[in-house]
Amino acid sequence: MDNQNSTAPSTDGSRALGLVHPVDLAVTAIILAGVAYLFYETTQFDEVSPLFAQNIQPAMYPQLLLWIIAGLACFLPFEHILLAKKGKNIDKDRSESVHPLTKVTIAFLVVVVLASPYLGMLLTMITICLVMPRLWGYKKLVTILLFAGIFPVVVSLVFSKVLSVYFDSGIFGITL
Amino acid sequence: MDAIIEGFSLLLEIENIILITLGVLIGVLVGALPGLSSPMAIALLTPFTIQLEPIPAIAMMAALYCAGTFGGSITAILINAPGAPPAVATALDGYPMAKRGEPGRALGLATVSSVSGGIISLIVFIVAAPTLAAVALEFRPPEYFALAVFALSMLASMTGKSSLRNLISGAVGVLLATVGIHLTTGVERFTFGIPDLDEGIHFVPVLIGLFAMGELLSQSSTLNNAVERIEAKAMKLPTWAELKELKNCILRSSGIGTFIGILPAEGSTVAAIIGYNEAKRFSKKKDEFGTGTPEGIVGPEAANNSAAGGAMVPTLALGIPGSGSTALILAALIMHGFRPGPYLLNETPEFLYAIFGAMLFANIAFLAIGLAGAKFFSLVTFIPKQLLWPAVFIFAVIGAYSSSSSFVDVYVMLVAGLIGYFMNRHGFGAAPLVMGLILGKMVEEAFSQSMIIYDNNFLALMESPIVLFFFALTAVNLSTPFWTGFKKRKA
Repeated sequence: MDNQNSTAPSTDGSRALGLVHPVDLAVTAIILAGVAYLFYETTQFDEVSPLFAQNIQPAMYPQLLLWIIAGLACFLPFEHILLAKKGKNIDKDRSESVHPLTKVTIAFLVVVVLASPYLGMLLTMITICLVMPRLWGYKKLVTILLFAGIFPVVVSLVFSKVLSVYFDSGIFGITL
Repeated sequence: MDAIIEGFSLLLEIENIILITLGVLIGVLVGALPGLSSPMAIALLTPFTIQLEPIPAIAMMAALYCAGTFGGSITAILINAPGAPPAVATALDGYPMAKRGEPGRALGLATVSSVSGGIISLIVFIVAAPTLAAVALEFRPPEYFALAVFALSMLASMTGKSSLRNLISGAVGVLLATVGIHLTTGVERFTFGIPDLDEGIHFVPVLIGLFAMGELLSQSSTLNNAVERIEAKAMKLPTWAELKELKNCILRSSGIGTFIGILPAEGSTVAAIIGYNEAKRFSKKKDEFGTGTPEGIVGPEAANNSAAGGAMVPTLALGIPGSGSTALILAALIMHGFRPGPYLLNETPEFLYAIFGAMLFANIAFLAIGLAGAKFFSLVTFIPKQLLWPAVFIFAVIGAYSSSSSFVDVYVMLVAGLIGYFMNRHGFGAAPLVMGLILGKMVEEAFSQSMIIYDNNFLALMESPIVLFFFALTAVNLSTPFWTGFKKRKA
């Protein structure tokens, strides 16, 4: 709550934060690090003869964009002052740390997506329908079972038979 | 005349009517469900339209786009939770009117003003798009470059948390468009030795990830938010006397919405907010705003639906997206092998009339949906989020996978979704990034050609008055947020 108070959309809020917004400073640092790495990558692009490149080397345009992104990012740590004067609160959605359920959901999505080539599309869908509602606190087990039993089958049938989408059957070879 | 007949005859085919009706129903459904949005639905639908003929596919998406804007008003009125951002202003008066026992009347006012606004903007669209395309035929690469830069600068005033973050998102999108083999020289850029990146970033998985996955993760933290639902038994159309009284408000808001829609990057949300403010400014009953006044419903509703038609003007005539949704429609056009811009309308004018017909059909369908289906669409909000979002995730996985039957695209979708979630958390919108991604290739191509024309002399670009005009607009646009901030500080 303290954090929320200190980042209220007011002049006072910006004073409490000072000139530099610490979170945006970190965001800027991440962006600048990314820009620096990508700029280094552009120096590794092959060069072509000026005649062929028509005076514009392949690296020139991405480098120009990276300069623009870096330039704009440098204003980020100070932007909260201007936003506070406009009554906007940039910290509204990030004043609290990432919700535990969001972290668990991210972990589940990563696992299920990485496992999908092995499970095959049908089993992946059934897993999602079984696990995600429970993960999100849905308690009606019969509804979940019906959902996991019917929805993936209907979706599979519609997409594979009607729209001719090829579904990988995975290592278990389960498909419709 | 032949083009008009050909365009409309495409819509008379039963298969196309079914597709457009499906687009309308999906649009109203996603518009009505809080969290789901028409850009997300268009992103999810895009890979499945590949097998369709291009015109019905785009017509279906255009119908979905219109319907999504309208659908948002249903939940804005009945549960005070705008199903889509453009309906945010509708809730201000729609919900109080529903709460005092007139939900049918509120839905009726929203429907009629949506239909009116939509049709007015379509008339502007059918006149303005070919005219603008004819003008744009005279554009050379320098003018296109200046126009694209102007469109990107409009991101500064796009709806979102901050102009600066929108611009950074847009620039990152333009940078992403450089991934792959450089067309002029054949040099690989940012491919990191991954062959799948040689052709550039695949639009579909990125779009699905940014719009669907990012929102799914955001929703996971709002599962316990309770809402009060008001039951709507039937929609009640406004009387003639009421319509006569609201006529000026509807016309004014439709004009505002269409104009805002035509501006690159501006969309229905900005139109709705300005439509509401202007309705209040011109109203004789200013004090009643916020308590359930009819003007507070028709103002934003006419404006947000007319912005949808307006946004199609630059999208089809210039290849410059008028909003986040139209950026996705442009991506779909590119996927179907079209090169959006003036040549498209001049070479295939029937395309324009087919889109016009589909959007007109969608607008008229709102009346039927409002009359017959308001109760059903209010019931869809009862679907538990815990079942709805896994279903969305399944469609996201299938959508990403089916674009090239590759699990790599599913991974790309997941990564884009995670990035989208954290971007959104820190105020960087997905829509500006997508607009940058769409415009990126055009900017680079036009820039390279301009430099060749002017022998690498950037200042020589200014010889063209059109270039100067667009650069002047760009400068005004970029300085406006700082200028208004300074003005507020002085005040």
